[in-house]
Amino acid sequence: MASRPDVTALLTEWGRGNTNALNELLPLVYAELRRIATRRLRGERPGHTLQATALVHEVYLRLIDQRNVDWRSRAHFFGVAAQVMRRILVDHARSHNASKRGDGLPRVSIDEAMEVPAPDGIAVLALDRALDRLAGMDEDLARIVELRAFGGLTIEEAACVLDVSPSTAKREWRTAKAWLGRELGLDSHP
Amino acid sequence: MTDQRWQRTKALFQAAVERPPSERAAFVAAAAGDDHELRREVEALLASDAAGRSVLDCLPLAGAAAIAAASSDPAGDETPLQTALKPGYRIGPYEVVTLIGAGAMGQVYRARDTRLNRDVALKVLPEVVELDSDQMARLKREAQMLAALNHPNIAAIYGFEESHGRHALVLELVDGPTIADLVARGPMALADAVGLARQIADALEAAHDKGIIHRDLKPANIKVTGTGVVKVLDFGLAKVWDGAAEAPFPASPTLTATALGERAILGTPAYMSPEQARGRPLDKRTDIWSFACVLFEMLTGRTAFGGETISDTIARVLEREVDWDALPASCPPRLRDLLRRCLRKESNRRLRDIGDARLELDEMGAPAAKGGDVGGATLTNQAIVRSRLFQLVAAVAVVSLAMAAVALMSRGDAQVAQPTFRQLTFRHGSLRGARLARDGLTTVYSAAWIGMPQDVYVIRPESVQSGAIGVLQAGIFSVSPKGDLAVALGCRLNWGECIGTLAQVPITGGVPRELVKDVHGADWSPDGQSLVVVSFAGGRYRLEHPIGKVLYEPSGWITYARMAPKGERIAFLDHPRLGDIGGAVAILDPGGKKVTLSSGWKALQGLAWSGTGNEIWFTGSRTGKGGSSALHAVTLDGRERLVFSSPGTLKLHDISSDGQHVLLTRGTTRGGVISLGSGSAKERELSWLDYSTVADLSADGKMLLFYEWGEGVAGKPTVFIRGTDGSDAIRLGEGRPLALSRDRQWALAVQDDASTQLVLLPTRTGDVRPLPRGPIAEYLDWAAWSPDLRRIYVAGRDASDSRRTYVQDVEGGDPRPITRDGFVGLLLSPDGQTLATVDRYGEYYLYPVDGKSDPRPLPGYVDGDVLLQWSADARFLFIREAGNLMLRIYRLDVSSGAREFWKELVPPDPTVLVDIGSDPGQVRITPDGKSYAFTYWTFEGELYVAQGMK
Repeated sequence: MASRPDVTALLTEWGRGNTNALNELLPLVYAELRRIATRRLRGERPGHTLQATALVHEVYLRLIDQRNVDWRSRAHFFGVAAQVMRRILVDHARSHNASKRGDGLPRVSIDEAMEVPAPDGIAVLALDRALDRLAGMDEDLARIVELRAFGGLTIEEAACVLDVSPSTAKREWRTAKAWLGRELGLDSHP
Repeated sequence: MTDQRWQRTKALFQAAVERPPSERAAFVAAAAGDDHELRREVEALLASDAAGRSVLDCLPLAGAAAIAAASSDPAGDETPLQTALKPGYRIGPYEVVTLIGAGAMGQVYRARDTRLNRDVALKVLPEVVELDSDQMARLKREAQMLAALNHPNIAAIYGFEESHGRHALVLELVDGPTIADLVARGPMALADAVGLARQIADALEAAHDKGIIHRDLKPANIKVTGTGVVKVLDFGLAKVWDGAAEAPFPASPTLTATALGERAILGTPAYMSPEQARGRPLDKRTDIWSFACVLFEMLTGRTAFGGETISDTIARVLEREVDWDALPASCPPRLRDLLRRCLRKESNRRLRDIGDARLELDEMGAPAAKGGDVGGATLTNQAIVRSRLFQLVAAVAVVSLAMAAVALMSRGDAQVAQPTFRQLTFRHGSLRGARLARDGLTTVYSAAWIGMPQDVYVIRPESVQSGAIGVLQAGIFSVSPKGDLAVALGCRLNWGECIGTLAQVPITGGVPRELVKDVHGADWSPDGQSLVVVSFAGGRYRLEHPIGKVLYEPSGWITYARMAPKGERIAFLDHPRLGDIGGAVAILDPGGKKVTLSSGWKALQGLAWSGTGNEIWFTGSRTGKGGSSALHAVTLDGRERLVFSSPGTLKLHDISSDGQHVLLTRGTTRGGVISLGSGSAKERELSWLDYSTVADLSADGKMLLFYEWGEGVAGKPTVFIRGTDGSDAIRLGEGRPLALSRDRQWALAVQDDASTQLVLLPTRTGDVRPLPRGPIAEYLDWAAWSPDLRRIYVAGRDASDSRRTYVQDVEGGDPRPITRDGFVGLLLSPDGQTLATVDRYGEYYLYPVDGKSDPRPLPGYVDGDVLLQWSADARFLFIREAGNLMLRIYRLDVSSGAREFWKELVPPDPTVLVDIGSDPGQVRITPDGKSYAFTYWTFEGELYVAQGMK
């Protein structure tokens, strides 16, 4: 049996504070996300659109040995996946915008080709930048947004990753949302 | 905004939202006082909050495409590859001959159908694909349906096989180049292209009539035989593999058998129809598109839609028109028109029926009847088409054959060995050594079968039955030319090899004549006049020949010392580390000098001289200890080759002097852990992967420190901790662990193969802390913590080969010796006062840690006793009495030397046990005697004699 990297063990390690484990985890999660997404693209599901969070959950199911993982590791996994997802989406939005500006040649990006609703590149990039600013003054708030928005974590799961109580997480999330809304100027235009 | 400022804003906002909306404004106004900016800031947040919507509600917002198209990361491109099946491996009735292609969807082998005596192609799914029963059923159903396709231009699908968890599609084997190979040489003659296209259309028509779509038609999937007959491969496999796509592995339909890795998967959408690229439902018109792409490529020598990248290619498929100008001027308008109709982006405007295309081509290809219609193109007649095509095919085929031959030769295994095997043993139990007699036909082996004592058995050529000769508890070492057996009496096992008193006994049985005690291996010289012996004395291994004359004294240990057929050399397995079966294959040359022939083996068990004496054959694995161990050969000048491999562990016992018969076992080694945790009444099985090896047990009996070093960790020793309550193991890092701190915060481990780097591994959070080694050249795999956890004791060897015990401060500083040369620490008493040590002669001493008095010999111990643990009050030592695979534990009074039986620890399956407790570190008891953990090793295998191995 070809040995697969033990993501579960890495996760446990990372949960215990070993940052090297995180460095090993990130590429694994990244690769798996791409694999699953690639397969989806050539699969036969017409118009099948997977949300980022759904992909993250699929990656979770594939990489993590369900029998050997506790709820804490599970939450930590989604924490990692959220980071990866954010990076992917931001990179994608950047290249998307770049190709829109273009070099004169009409180009169809892969998501248009696939008729997958393209993310609003501007929104992703704006959010990314706003999150960076937010992280500058309140790391926890930025993290909870990352976990919820990119990793699809529930309040309780995000609380676990951040090691705060669910009620704190809830408060933080609400604050972050309000701040981002104000920052991105969306509050008055529902 | 400063952090402080933000914290105030945040606090006020969070306090405000706790209140009813109607009260918030007043609350904020009051709380902010005259800090108007704060008030504005909070009010803005409250407004945003009340809006009830934010950009975040539109998130997450990307689809699969975004992720798939994400800029490629090196890690993202890796595709797990599988190891190739070796010649002779069987899946059902099919026997692998050779690998002919590989890709992410699996590997393709030429295989022999042993029932029908024909060669087939086997597409083997990657091992990592795990299918549930539904997926299996679907795969089988699809394969069966495809098997019903019967057409001269379609490579047949014979069926689906499953064996040992490997899944394979059985396909017709087609020799000849693919159209991809042919167009690589440039555009084809018009007539050739039309002739081939006709046959492809014919194949598609037959399949479409049965409702089967190819879905992945491309030049690499179409072969042309030497007689110019088209064979379309992989019909409908795209759909079959799709069933496997739910398995945790990217099973892509669009991968050619020759390509490797994800790049190849992404590299082939050039033949996908637009609807396929969009992921829409497909019908037969997708094949018509692909068909036209192939025809276009045959005519022009270039792909219709190929781009630099996947997205580029897909963009072309969806948007761009084919470069019609690329078609040769000779291309008749009618053919251009056909291509145009087949390559319409909207499938509902495309040619509906491949039969129509076939008709068109028929007419174009029939020069006499409709010559006028071809628009001036000069088409040769069918016969010439055939012969010219034949030349082209033949030319390409010769080239690929030559390349294949070169590839084979450069791999050095041009001859595919097809050995035959005869199984000699059938019983459940443990096989402990086997040799061939001089006739090369009589087999002598020792075994402990279930429910019977260990004995020596003889199988004579005229009989298939094994006969016991009644030398109980003996293991076979060697058979002399005259038929005298060299055996180990009172066989104790060390890695499945017997250790015992060397004795001589006739092959017919009788009273053994004892020669030497504590022999770890022996081999008769070819003339039967003397014996090569591996002995163990004074804490060192020795290679002697004849008995008493030391030729070589290793720093580690050696096994399988065997004399060359002419007696001038001795080959052996050289294991540099005690207790570790890794190492090198070496010989003592006629001058008595050791020469290493092949090194870097993680596991080595089994060695014999080839019949000619030109090679040494051995079984081992370079990757892991537990998993597959293959049969290799090395020449006296160090040239290595693989002779044979199969799943599981192979262990070579002997080769007959004519080289015709090879005696080996095939089986599996496992290391398991049993533990009795604190407060628990029942033992618990705590095995984790395949080589679970106990290193320490916390004093409270709650935490087990162990390591894995088998196939499960690819041979890379890896440290784990695990609760004795059976909770999950936690990986701490690489290395071999030695001791757990009493507070369970730290594990001491040696991190490199050479045992030169000691580290502290945190069991919770924190960084790995390397410790300086000072004068120590090699750690001797023992360590202990001082009771206050501020110091550690380690055993080490310095540059001048002195072995001592050292003490070292955890916080820093070099280790300092605390014992004299030769005294190696074994156990530190719980009060930290007394060290049980072993001297260079294997004698036990109690050594005062403060060094203020002399070491005193441990009273009352006998040869073979192994010290396991101090009792909490330091009055007793738990010791293990030497025994044949038994773990009988006594308490030895360290002042009087009196012993009393304490407990026997019993592994779950004693019959297949090969080792238990021979390494004292693998049995741990808490000082209170309430908890324990131990490792037991099992090997299960059968003895075979193979013929025809080369």
